[in-house]
Amino acid sequence: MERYARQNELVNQEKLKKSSVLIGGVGGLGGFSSLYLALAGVGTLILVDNDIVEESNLNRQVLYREEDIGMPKVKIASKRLREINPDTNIIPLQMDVKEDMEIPYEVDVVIDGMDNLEGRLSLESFAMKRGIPFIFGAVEGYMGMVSFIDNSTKKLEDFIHRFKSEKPQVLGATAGLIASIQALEAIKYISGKGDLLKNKILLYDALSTNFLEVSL
Amino acid sequence: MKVRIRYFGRFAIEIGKFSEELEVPENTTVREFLEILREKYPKLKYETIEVSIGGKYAREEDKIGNEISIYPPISGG
Repeated sequence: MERYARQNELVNQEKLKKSSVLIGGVGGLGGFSSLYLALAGVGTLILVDNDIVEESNLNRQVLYREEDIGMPKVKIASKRLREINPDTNIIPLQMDVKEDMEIPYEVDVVIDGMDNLEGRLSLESFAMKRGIPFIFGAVEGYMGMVSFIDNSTKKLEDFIHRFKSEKPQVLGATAGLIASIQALEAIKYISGKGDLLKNKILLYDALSTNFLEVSL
Repeated sequence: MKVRIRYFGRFAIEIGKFSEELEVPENTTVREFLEILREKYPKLKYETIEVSIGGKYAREEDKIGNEISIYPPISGG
């Protein structure tokens, strides 16, 4: 297929086409990761989010426009992602992310697009109960971090202390950077290529231009 | 012992530097080291702090090493 001519030596396109990725939270992180996965030709993207588009989202949430304010995020995200790749089956689920949520579809990978620790822990538990990987990502300011979690690795509870969180400042470019790494982890996992960020955190601080890899 | 500390994220902003060298007692634990830092930088007093020693995730009872990175737990998206 001509659409994938410039990447078909890099990935297993057939496996990507047959794969199903659930994205929990379609905001800053989830907007960019769903965009990259649709571009790559992932067969099915399941979007789970109960929020509506707000004006304060527009600095970092790439799928939304001013005219979308007040509309459900999953509805608008689905429309934009279908425009980007009509071959990708987009399933919008307007509901809260919960550990015991009913998802009547096959899921191969779960991607973290949440904006709070409690939500992440629920999404991680959902993935672990199903025995599928969870690709953690989080951002704040100029900094972000990523890790690949599955039943064989350390879990969020092992490397993130509970902390009092307020709504952090976030740049679109920071969300894009971290979501890009999350999408790459998913593409590599599905295609069976390369190493994964298992039992390690990759952290980048754009202000100091420092990367940090932390072994868990 | 002399240690090199790298500060990440909002800690670097609160402290006003990305890295520094400090002299600390031998066999200092992470918990004791964080007490030293919080004394030196009151803005860190109520912060939850994650620590990496020589590239490895460290817990409070671990001994520190020469290369220390500290970063905040974050949860934005």
